[in-house]
Amino acid sequence: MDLDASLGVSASGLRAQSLRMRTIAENLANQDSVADTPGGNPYRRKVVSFQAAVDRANGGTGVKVKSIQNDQSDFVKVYQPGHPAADAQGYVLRPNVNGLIETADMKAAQRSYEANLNAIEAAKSLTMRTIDLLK
Amino acid sequence: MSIGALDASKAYGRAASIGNTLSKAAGGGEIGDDQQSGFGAMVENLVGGTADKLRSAEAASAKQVAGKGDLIDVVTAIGAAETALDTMVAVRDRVVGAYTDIMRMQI
Repeated sequence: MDLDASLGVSASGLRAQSLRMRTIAENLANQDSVADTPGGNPYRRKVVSFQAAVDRANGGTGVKVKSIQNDQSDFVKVYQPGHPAADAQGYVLRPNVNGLIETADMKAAQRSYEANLNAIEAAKSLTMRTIDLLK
Repeated sequence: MSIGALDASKAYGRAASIGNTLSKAAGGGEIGDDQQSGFGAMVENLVGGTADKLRSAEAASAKQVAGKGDLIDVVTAIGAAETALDTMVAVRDRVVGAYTDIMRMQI
């Protein structure tokens, strides 16, 4: 039944968004993770990309995480000569994580998750009301 | 118009033969039990499918409680089981209702 398929599709959305949420949490948690050797690279921000995926079980086109890739933007340079990770000029490379961007991304993930939850709720209540016709 | 004493037994015989064909169609008749078709098979499929879904929902919940499962899997499995059970119960109620209606019918 198509309402079953839509439940599956929404569930795939929930899964994808929860993985996105995990990646955002990783980025936020690591926004201060720097190297411990001079001139070493700090944590690099991760980005999730999604892809449409047909579910063979129910025929619906759900979503899946295509890949989790590194953000290739430049690291932030901070002058901290005494730091263990400082290079010869006294600069420390800090992660390319921006808290504001992560927060905005988190809101988007949250909204998307909620939208999928609402879709599940709607499909479920429609199914139940259809069954109620028999009673 | 005369009402013969045999009319009642004739009516009874007719009703019995109709009942026979009905139960044969339901797959529960004494003859033709090998060909599972009609209502009996439908109920069997429905109950079997529901039981399968309930079992997978139970397995998903057990995994979740053990800390190895996925919450979304649990939710979808339980949702599917609930829908299947509700459908089965609704169809059963409907059929039992029809049966009691027939039993109450004036002959």
